[in-house]
Amino acid sequence: MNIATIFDVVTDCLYAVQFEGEEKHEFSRLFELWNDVEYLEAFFEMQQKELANEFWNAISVEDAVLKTIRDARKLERRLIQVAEVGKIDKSEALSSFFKPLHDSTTKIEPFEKNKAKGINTPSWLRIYAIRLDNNLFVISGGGIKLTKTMQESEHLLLELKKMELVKEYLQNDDNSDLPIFELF
Amino acid sequence: MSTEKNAKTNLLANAIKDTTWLQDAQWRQFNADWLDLSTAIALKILRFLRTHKMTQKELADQLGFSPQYINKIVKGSENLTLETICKIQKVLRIRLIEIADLNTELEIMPEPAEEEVTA
Repeated sequence: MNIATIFDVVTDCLYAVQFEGEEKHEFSRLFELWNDVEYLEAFFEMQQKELANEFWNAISVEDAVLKTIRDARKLERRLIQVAEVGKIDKSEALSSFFKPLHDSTTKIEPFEKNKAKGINTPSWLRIYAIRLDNNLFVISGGGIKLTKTMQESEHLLLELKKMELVKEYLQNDDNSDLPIFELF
Repeated sequence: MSTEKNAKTNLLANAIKDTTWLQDAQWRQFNADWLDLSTAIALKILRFLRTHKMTQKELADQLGFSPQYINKIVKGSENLTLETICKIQKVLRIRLIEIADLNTELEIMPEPAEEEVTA
């Protein structure tokens, strides 16, 4: 898996990686998936064991699909607000969305791994990003988190790798001409 | 090893401006009402196909539609005509939409409340 390029989603605030072989950058790809009924139905059908968990209240596949689409819509609406208001008021910070990936983090690390959650509580939507500044984030991917830890889900293990790849890419001094960077 | 400051400078200088995501997002927000119906119909069809071990191709053949069109429908973002919905209902023998009882008094729907969105 290689990084093809990085897109400016909201200037000076939000950037997103596009991986080689993908038609869209990660931010657009996520919202497309979270609105794709066929993808979501198949995904939750495979995750029925997790949905049966007490935490998710044994939600049905049908309701899980509808919840995802509703939650994604709210999150997208909020991001539009930030994008539009952010053009005028730079203090409208994305940092209120993003939190350190590890809940136990007490001080800000350089190139910190961050996560943003959906707006409905509880939400299983996650956007993963690397923080470069107070209001500057580079999205590496995202997913639907149904398990307590990312390590318990194969698709989220991949997201951890993608986050590490983006972090290394940004840390690389030679990335000014956007070279290809390999994950596998 | 780059510092965050260098990385930021490189990023701001080299990133490509995306002009499509906001349009896509605004389109989804603007069309939310009919997209909700399209989602519900897509979900009902997909659950039927899974339960009856039927493929999208088989459904397409029975309807005389292309498999590509059926795939668009089950993705939940197709603005379906009543004619198409009725054809699918007939082939699958399931109800996809319903009109409120015509014998009851017309009920005026309340103004939709602005959904509160907080970070």
